[in-house]
Amino acid sequence: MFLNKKRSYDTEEEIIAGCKSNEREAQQKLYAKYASLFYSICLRYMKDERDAEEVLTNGFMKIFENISKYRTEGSFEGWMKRILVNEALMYIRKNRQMFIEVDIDSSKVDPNFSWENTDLETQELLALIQNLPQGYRTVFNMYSIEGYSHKEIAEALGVSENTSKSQLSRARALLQQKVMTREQLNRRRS
Amino acid sequence: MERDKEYFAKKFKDLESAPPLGVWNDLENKLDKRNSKKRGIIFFRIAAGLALLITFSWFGWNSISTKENNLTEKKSNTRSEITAANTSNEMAILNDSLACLDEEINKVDQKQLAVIEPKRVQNINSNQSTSKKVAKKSNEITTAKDTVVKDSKTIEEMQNEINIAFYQERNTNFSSDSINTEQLALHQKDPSGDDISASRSITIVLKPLTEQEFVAENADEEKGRLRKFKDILNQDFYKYKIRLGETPDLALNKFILKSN
Repeated sequence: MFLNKKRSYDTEEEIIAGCKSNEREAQQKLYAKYASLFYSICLRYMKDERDAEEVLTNGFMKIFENISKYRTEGSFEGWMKRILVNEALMYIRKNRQMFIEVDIDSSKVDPNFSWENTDLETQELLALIQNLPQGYRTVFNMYSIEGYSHKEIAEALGVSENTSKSQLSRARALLQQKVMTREQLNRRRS
Repeated sequence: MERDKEYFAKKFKDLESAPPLGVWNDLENKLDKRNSKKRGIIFFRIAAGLALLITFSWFGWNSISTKENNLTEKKSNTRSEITAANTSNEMAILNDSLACLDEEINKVDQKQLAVIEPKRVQNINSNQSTSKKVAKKSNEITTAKDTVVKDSKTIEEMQNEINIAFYQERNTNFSSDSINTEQLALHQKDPSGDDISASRSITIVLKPLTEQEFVAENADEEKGRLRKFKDILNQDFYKYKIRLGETPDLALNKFILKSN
């Protein structure tokens, strides 16, 4: 008879190996380690928490199903993030409307505006991003936070690069507008 | 724009929000469902594989059995064909031989009469060449008959055949008008053994034998082997009345063969 050795999943390699073997304990450890980070990503892409939970669950399912395909080249966290973002985009495509092409010139971004000069908390900034329209929000998240190029965004969303650029421009302009309005209100209160 | 990118990346890099506790439970349920589905798929794949294996084995066994049966059948059919061919060949030879006999008999004029006396009739007024011809013919007939009748014949039977052939040859020139009157020259021997050469005019009254009469007269005849030969001749047996006072014994020893 073979003795079942209880494994400890302390290192990332052990967790990955355990997940490849479909060990429930390893899977739980992986979830516990990355769930909070991934949930915040989902909150940036989704407007409400229910959608964010759905995307998180689906994202982890995809990670566990495809973990055998993970090669040790590159960051494991980055690999999982890409899966999660793709899952978020699939959810958006399934439940939301497609983007509409917008003339780039219509966007009005203040070139002198600097985000570093604002005193926004992260959670406040997150709330502002969540209030953006879906298309703007998606492109903004993918470009400004995840670091995708417009080409990659266009391929992922099935739109043109110009659409991606316009959506980003619109998003930046809107965010700027909101931040400036908020600051004006704070100054008035003070 | 690049500065904005750096700002936002830094702001949100380590941002964490703890998900609700129920999320892991939902995830666990989905994982269990997926595992049971996988096990079910594996089970059905194994079952389908076994079913295919059994089916192909059964078909394969049946096709082998069918092939064996076909081979056996072919062998037996071939054997039957060979046997049939051999039998038919023998029958063909038999039929040909009988056809030869028929031809020989048919050559003689229907209206000619031949008197045949078993054991006693000799060649009469015949020349050497005719005798040779007849002898040759009789040999042919004998040979033909041998292929049909495999057993040996009595001397009497053979003599009958020769005599028939001779008289068939000899009497071809008689016309139908001379049926009732015929000049026959016989070399006869009386019971004492003296040779009597006599030329007699015999008035012959022809009376065909019925089948029963023939059977009665030939009750002692060996049936089977000579049946075919004699059956042909049966039509030509006639009883004749000799008005010249021949003894009944002599009459009985004679029979008239009327060839067709």
